[in-house]
Amino acid sequence: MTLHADHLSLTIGKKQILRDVSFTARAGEVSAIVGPNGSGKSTLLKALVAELPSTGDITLNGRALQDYKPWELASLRAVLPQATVLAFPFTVLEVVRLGLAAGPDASNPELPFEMLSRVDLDGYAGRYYQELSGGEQQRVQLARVLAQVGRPMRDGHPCWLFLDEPVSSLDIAHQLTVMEIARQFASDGGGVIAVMHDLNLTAMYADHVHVMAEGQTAGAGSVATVLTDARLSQVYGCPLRTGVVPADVGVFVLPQTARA
Amino acid sequence: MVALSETELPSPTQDIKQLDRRIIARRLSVILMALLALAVVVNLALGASGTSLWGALGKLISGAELTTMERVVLWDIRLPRIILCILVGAALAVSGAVMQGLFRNPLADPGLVGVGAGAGLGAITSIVLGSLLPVGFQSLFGHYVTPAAAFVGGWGSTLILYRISTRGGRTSVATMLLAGIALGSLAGAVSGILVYMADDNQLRDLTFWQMGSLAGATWEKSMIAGPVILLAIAGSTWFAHGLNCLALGEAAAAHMGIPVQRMKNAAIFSVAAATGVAVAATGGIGFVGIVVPHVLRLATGPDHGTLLPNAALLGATLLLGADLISRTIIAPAELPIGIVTAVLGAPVFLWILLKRRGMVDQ
Repeated sequence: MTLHADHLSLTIGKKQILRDVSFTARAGEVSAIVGPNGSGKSTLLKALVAELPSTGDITLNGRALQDYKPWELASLRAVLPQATVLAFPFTVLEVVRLGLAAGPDASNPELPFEMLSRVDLDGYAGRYYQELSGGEQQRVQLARVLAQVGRPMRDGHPCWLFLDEPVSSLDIAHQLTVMEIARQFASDGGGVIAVMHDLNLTAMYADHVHVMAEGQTAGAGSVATVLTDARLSQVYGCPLRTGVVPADVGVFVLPQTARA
Repeated sequence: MVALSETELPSPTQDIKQLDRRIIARRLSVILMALLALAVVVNLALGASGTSLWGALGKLISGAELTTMERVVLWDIRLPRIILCILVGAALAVSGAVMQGLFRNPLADPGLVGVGAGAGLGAITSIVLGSLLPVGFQSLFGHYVTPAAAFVGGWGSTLILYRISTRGGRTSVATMLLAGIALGSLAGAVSGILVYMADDNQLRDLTFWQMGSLAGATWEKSMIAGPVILLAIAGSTWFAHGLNCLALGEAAAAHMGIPVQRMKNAAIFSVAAATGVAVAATGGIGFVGIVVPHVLRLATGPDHGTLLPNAALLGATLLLGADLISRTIIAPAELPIGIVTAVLGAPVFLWILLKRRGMVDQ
């Protein structure tokens, strides 16, 4: 079971943001979309969930995306946006419940608490969303998304999580927490597609990497085959080397050390 | 040991009860229903004529005949006025709450952003130009022309307002308020031209209508406004969850399975219908649509599932209270109810602005 997009192109105004991008993600894997600022990563994700209209064909679990009803899609996949501005003073519990009501587990009142616990927000249920820090808000949104589509498999079909920079405003411990959730979801049979900035976390958690540059695909495949010195240096426009410990640079911290 | 740990750990269900504002909101619904019932009795009992409700009730119970005076005052004057008051109060409060959800802003209100003025323009047009309609049509549908025209005016101005102030799913508050002022002025100017064209009879109709009064309440007006308003309120429960999801943004709502465009169309339609028939029945009554939802959001949170029904109850009760003041404060004369709601509502509105300036500076 896959998410498959064929020859996507997308133009906003006069600017072409995506140019003939083909993309495949498999259930059971974490697929990362990486690339420099303005390369079209987030736009690609928005095109994949039909938030932005693109030319090209997208199929999810073997069925064309436009053939799904809105509620069918909502129980099959959930989308975490980069940041969410809330219009009214909802509490954390109420935000997570919105996700719960949208998904197939709507009758389980305990689920929001479980999901808040998974994103390390025990005891936050009664707090006002707008009073939380950016990183806490991001985790509340993840809990909402998980309350909507929390089970990786349903009726023998994989479910999907689309995460737009899920760890961008988190501290390193919570980055690991969130990536572990994504990893577990994929290991249990679901599909995860995440836009990532952090190449170390990408290397740690992704099974499949899709590199974007200037609206086009600059490489796709396993971490080892895609994240090469030559490709990274060219795409990011600065000399980068993988797997090398530089001499005499003083302190550096790698997230990998937390799992070792 | 087991017993000890069971008492120490709060069960999740207990947790839910403590945190759940829906439970408080449901209790509030019961209180509001009781208040509404009380307001109905008080409005039925008090009035300029001094007719006694209790005396009449006593006669009904003992099987005695009511006097003509009692029947006319209670059945033909006070009761239809109470019904219309409940309908219009509920319509204004629910329309305000729906519009605020739709625009994702607690300051949107049909009266403030020109929808009321648009509905007013429709009503005035029908009064002044209605005589141009074929006579047969007038005699059949005469009573429906003004509400229908008010609905069209309200609908048109809501559509224009939404188109102008919402780009890519985000509503600019500044644009919304400025566009509302422009729309209101335009509707006012055209209304002025129509008033200038009106003959003496029409002018009399217009003057009565513009005073924003419930004095002209009849069973007939309630029968026309009633089904439309009740349908609009019942319909709003269908998109309550959608409005909640919309608070997270249009894209997020779509990913949560909400047919966003259809829901927005339904919301705009119901706001225009409810506001239109309310304006046609009683003229412009301000601030109910902004104060009622705001107070309820403070008390029980922004969940539209409970906000909309409670807004209907509180709006109806509030307007009954305002009508009581308007009928009794300078009795036997009457203060137009629009003045009462403005005197009560405008300070609350200013207080909201003072407390939460951030809402405007988005």
